[in-house]
Amino acid sequence: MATRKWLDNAFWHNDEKEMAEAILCITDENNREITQVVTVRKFDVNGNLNPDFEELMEEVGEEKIDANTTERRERKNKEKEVEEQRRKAEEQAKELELLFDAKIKILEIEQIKNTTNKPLKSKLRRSKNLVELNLYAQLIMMEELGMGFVTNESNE
Amino acid sequence: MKATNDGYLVVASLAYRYYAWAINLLEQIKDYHPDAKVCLVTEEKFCDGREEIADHLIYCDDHYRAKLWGMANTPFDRTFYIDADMECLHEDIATVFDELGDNDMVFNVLEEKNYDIFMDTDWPGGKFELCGACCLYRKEMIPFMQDWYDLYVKQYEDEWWPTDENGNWDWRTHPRRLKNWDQFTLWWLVNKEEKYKDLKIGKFKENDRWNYWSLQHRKEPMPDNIVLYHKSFCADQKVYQS
Repeated sequence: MATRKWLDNAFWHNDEKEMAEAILCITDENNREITQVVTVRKFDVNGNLNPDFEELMEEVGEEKIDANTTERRERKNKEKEVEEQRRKAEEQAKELELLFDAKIKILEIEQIKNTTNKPLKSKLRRSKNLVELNLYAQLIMMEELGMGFVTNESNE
Repeated sequence: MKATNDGYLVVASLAYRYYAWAINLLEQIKDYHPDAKVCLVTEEKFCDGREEIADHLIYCDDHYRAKLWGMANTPFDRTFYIDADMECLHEDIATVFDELGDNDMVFNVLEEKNYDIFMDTDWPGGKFELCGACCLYRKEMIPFMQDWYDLYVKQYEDEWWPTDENGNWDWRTHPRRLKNWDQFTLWWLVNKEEKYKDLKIGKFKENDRWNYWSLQHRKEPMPDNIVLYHKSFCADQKVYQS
């Protein structure tokens, strides 16, 4: 004899609790098990109560579905947070790798390689990003090429 | 009494880029620790004037693992060897010799959390635990470093490999893929070599701070207090190949 069973991990799709996602497990006359994920609406198109929904409420119950929904939401938020953190870390790591490569290239430029301005070269090496690195490289180049430094009014 | 002849050793051979990276690293060490004594082991042909940053300059040949030869030729009583593809990011580089304690040597460990970024971790005959990317050691360990280099050269040139009960090279227990790893030679010396069984080998208390892999950084935010950042070029290749 064929049987139907709703798994107890169903959760709500909306706060109104009129639509749930659930897994229905059907065993047919030949004892074959078919599992399907079903979006179960409370009412059909004519506004009548959906018997699947009633059956789900009887078997799993609103309280259990509420708990599943809360647990799922928290789990998804945590997963999202972890993924976001991983993505940021990956971006930072790639930026640092680019920074390292750029720094090595900049330090190969003759004027920068041979500059005697140690404080500026040290600042260049400690640069935290490409913009900072380029700025220090420019300052060293200006000094080495005798282009002087730009001073603002307060320094004059 | 505290030893005063402490120093940092970096080896750059085989390719010019290692020289460029080594200079950057040595300059960074001096940025954060101006009194540091540093030694550069490199090939003469790479030198372009910037090697003057080094308090000691030693010329080496172009062997694939000249780093081991360099470690055996340190001019310091206590040496902190660092791979050239690392960056120094923190002033605590000055405190590294405190990590030595009463150990003969101190290494980083390959932690399981990072197994996915390492090229090789274990095989039927053993498991890598120590990482050779940086190493703190006393001058009494120079013969060990020389043995490490000598045995690695034999291993690399197909003149040595562990043997089985019939005296044949035991590729089954220790697969051929390990042949190019100097880490395998290190593993063999500290785990199988009788004369080194009593060595006191320590591990850095805060492992990540002294060898933070760039690929590790891709998985998690990097803590602010990292001292040495390691470009994971080898591991990168693994990622790119997969």
